[in-house]
Amino acid sequence: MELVLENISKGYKDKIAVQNVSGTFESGVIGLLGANGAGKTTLMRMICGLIRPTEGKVTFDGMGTSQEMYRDAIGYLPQDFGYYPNFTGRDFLMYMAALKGLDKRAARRRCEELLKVVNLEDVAGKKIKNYSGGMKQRLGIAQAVLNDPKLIILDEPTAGLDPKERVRFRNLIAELGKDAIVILSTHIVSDVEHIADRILMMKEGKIIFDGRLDNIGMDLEDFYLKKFEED
Amino acid sequence: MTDRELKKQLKNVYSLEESDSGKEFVRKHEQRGMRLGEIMLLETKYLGLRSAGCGLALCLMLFLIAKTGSVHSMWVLSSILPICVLACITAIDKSERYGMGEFEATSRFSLRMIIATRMMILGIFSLVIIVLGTVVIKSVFDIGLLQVLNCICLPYLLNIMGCLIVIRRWHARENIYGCCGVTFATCIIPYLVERSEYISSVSQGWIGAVMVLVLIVTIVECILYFRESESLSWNLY
Repeated sequence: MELVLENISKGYKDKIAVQNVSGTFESGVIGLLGANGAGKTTLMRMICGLIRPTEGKVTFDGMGTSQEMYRDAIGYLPQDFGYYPNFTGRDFLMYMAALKGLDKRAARRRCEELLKVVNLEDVAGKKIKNYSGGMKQRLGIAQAVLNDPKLIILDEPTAGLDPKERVRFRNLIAELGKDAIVILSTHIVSDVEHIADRILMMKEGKIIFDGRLDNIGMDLEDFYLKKFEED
Repeated sequence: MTDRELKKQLKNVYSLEESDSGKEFVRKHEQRGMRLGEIMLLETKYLGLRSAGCGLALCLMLFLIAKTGSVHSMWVLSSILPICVLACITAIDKSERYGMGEFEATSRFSLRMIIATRMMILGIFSLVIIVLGTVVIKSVFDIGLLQVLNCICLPYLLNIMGCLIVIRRWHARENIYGCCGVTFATCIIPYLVERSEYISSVSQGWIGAVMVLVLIVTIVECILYFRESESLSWNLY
């Protein structure tokens, strides 16, 4: 299981959002840290195949992002997302399960399982428009892992979660990272401090640090601030 | 050595390693693929009650026209059809309007396929309505087939064309107001046609030619919308 980024860049008319990002990733949790506007979301979208890179390519186990089998292997939670207004939590998960090609019986079982994991089983029958921000976020996390993906991409997944939910979420991610590549982008250092095996730091579209958490040798937050001041 | 042990030993000696192409073949066929019919049923289920409600309302109106037998009621139907289009056309754009585009684009079926499926469902719905309307009106009124088609299809197609132009250029929830404006404009066209002596005197052939032109533009807009669907807003720069 290997995700390879080969010199990927993305430029728009007046801005270069991502510049020459390369890397090879294996199973585990990869924390992508960066301030707002660093290019994290653009990079995540290129990995998911939502955006075409201006240069370079993304492959996962030899598959390109346009292949159906690539989309089968990924689970994605976007930074900003919505829901169809008439859906209940269960309806939404069943709809996503169908789009991900899950068999109806398997989908029903998997949905119930995930609703328990994200602690939404009591409100699964209620409409999503009545959910709190944290509940919507948890539902989004649940749909990202519906198809048991091998590459999980989470863009600011802890936004709107209270401290207790954050801890629960971190435990879930650490568990998922054992069998999959989990890329978690955030600007909150504590989200990745305890669970990431590898840290990428991004600034103005470039990777300014790429290394293992063990090799940093100091508090991650201090290191993060130091790195940003240096560059 | 028993026969069983011997068989096991022979298997170990003579078993061939599975080739990569064999593994690939098995892997591909183990994955359950959804067929086009299943996607259509899924999307039909989620297109909502609006479309079904519109179909029912149209059938009722056609029935009423048949009952009254008045020529004016034909033009009433011609004016109301665009409103039914409005309810359906916005269903095509709902992925982006409700922020579900990113979820759908990263599922097994690309966003393009989902939108194509929705367009196909709504296209079939439109075709059924047009055929049904034509049959009912032709059976009630003693007018030419071309005139019936012009009466039903022209406002309908004009509205679809206008709404597609709006939703393709305006990627926001507010595009529904633009579509409402287009619908209002197309609703008053049959009224103006009936009132205007000049337009009424134009031959049905010319009106038919305009309808074909509108149909071509509508098809082009559909193709362009379909092509741009995966771009959403980020790749359009």
